Amino acid sequence: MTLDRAIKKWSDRRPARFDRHESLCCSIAIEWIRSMDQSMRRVEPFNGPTWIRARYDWGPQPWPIYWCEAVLRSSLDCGGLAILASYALGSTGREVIPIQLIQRFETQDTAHWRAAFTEKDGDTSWLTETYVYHEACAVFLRSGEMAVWDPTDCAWLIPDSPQGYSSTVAIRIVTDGQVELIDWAGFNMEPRRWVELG
Amino acid sequence: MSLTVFISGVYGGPNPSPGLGVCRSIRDAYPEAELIAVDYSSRSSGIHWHEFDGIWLQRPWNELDLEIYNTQMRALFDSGGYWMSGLDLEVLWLSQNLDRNPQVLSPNWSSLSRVSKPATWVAGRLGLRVPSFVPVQTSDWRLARFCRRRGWNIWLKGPYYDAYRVDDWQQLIQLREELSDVWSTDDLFLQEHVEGNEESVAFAAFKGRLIDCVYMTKKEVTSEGKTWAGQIGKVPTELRQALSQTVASLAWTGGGEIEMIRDRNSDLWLIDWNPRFPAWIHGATLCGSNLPGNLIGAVSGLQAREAQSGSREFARVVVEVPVNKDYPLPPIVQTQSQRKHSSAKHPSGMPMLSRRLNQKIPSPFDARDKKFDEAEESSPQLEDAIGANEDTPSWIHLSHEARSNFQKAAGVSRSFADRPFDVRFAYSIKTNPETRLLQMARSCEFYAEAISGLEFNAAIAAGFPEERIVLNGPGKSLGLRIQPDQPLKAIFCDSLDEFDRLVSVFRDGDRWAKVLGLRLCPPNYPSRFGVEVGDAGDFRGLIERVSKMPSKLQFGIHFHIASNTIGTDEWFRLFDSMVRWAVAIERLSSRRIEIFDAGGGWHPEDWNEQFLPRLARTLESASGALRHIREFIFEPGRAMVQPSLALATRVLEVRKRSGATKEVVVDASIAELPEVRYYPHRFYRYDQETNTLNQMTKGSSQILGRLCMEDDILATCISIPDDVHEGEIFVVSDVGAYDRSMSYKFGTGELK
Repeated sequence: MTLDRAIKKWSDRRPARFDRHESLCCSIAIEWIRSMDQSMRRVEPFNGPTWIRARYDWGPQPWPIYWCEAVLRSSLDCGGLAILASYALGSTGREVIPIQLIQRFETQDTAHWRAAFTEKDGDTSWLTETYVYHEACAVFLRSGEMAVWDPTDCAWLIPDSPQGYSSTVAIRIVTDGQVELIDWAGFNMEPRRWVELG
Repeated sequence: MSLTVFISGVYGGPNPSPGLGVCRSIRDAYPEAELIAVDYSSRSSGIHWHEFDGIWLQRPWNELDLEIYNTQMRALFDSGGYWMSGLDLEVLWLSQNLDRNPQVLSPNWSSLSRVSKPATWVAGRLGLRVPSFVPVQTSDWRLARFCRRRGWNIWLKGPYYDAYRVDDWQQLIQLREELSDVWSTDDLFLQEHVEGNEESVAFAAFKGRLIDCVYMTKKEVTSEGKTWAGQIGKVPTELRQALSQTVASLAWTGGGEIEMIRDRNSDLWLIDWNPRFPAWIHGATLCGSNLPGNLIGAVSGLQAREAQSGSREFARVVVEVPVNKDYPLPPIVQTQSQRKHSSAKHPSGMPMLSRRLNQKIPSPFDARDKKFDEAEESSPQLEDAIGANEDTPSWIHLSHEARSNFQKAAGVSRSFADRPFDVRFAYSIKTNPETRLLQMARSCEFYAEAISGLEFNAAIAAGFPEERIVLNGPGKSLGLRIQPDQPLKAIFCDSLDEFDRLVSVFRDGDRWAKVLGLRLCPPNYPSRFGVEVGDAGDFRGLIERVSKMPSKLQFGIHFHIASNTIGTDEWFRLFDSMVRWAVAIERLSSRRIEIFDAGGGWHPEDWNEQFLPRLARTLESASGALRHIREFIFEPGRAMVQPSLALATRVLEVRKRSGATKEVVVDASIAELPEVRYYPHRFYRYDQETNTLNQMTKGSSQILGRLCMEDDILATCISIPDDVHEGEIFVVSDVGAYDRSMSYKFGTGELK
């Protein structure tokens, strides 16, 4: 599959979200994430919420899922991790938005992931043979610049990183704002559409 | 024209010297050059690298006759060879012995003296910040304060090599001894850790002209923090200009590396300026910048082959190479201690060279760091003379110290009288349960914090009314007899199980306390106490229980982490995060939080200099978040009473070596001073005639306890005057808290 076709495949895909019960249980879960983040994160904003990945393994999870169920799981997929990271980063009052990514891997990698996710009734629509759909989140710094945090790999992503195996090849900034360009580490990125990197 | 380069420091282990990288880079630039490996041990694995044309192996530094070595080197230079050193101490030696020899491609003595650690002069020139530091020769009391104030985010650094993270006082003492031993010097220093990404600049310069420089961002590091993969880029223009001016003013010749940390604000901090190329230098060559080749080109005028650029990133691999048959591997050496001084750690024998060079090198902290040598605080004022025949060891009461602390806290408490909430202090009885101290606390409006029925009884006996007693801890039921008609101020439960049990008691009508609260276990700190709010399930259980507790009960939150172990700034950050948890609990449970109780473990200095000055601002923020708060309670812990007691001990034996006092044995021990290993204590000589105390300063002697126990060492690195005599009295201060309350009978022929 080409990158163009991968982009087309995921053109209508929306970022993951947790459902919320009207009763107290899901409010407790959200407050827990926010309070945990203040306790666990030593330096903000340089240090991302690495504690989330330390607490949750990456792996298949059921969708849809409620907040109160998600926080009690031992593993979450990239969408689940990105939601938790968004709430953690947002707990300091900063604007946080979802980020959709396409990354390049090898066919042997996707074969393993397909098998692992299928075995646990997980979603496999994020996989093609060599391109994978991935989720992260972005926080806006005081300078107005956007910093992209990948909660699965616990790393700040940069737009001009070398291309190749496991690299991010396309990004879509999900925002309802009217802004036409967003500064990502010195690169002006157009939101709401897939932008190829490299 | 032929080219010969002697390249020293070629160890190729996990903490490599740069020689191998320098060799490979020069080979790339000058395929026909003659490259000679130099090192001081056949254990230095890089001598076997196939791109070397020869090996000039030297005996270890302690066996070298340095004058002969000097002569041998001059002969090499006379025949046209260049010398490129990869060993910091060898660079230093070269600067002292072969300064201004044009064949030596390393900086001169005056340049080196300006960039020695912690390199403040050069940092200023480059516009880089320097993490705060303090020489280890400063008094232990001050060293401990330096560490506490920085939350024990501290490095212990050697003068040339080696840096270790230290987490507590015990570790600092142990590593200080090891590092001093390896480098044969006390010129170590402590430096604050800076959180961030590690970045470096490598450069080459000739006679003060910057030839080239590259920027490297570490992408992988070893467990020792050494580069294992990196990304090469251009040095930002401003930094390059500053570097160019700096090397010009230093008249620098040779390679160099500036090691930096980029912090969260993108500020750059200088960690080290190394007087040689970094070990990763060939990584830069692979990315298109051949600095060693360019340096040789600038010096020799020979045209270098252009560097090939295939990537802007490099990675290291482990490669096996055949051993040169003329230099077979030596047998494995069995050492007395496997832990110390392994040959793999310093295969080029730098500690040996250090031993020889230290005689000539002035301490980097000698003159310019006088600020670290300020006089100690005034000595404790004795209330009564210590009699010549006084039984020792004996406790000396300094009641004015405790009284002053309690009264000051009472004043602070009263200063909040116009606020909508009260601020009260609680004296933790376990710190020191002496009745005189409890009564002092009571008269200064303190609460008593008890952790058992037995301590509760002590508080009652000292005159505390029940309504001024706070009950805490996991074993509070031990010996506890509470009269239901005289409720306590508050009970904080250590677990949800205890909370369930007490809610049932209260529901049945017995009202043991006005406030029933929960102790929270802060996430991210190792603690066995309190409800683990870091567990999402336990947090949910907590909310559900608090929501249902009887409405007639007031609710409160308590946490306790000792500030003297995590540092003062970190404690205040923790306080804010615990307020955040309390706000969440209040919002979710719809129960008002009326009391917020925070402990503790404050060092007396930190309490007075850090806690009290920051209290008003901290509470302004906390009370804004906790809208229904009626009272904040703080537990100063040891801060109130640690200075209130000293210990008099008698010298039993004086042991001398070469006429100087090496150590003394005293009649006190770790039985009277169980905390002596955990924080520094101040020692004094008692002057019988004037009834005054004279503080003993830093030195190289030690004070041993009376017990036949290996760890009964009361002080190390202390100066004991040579006229000290058996029978005279030493006084140890700062023993009024857990030293006193946890002291035990041992080695006296009696049981407790």
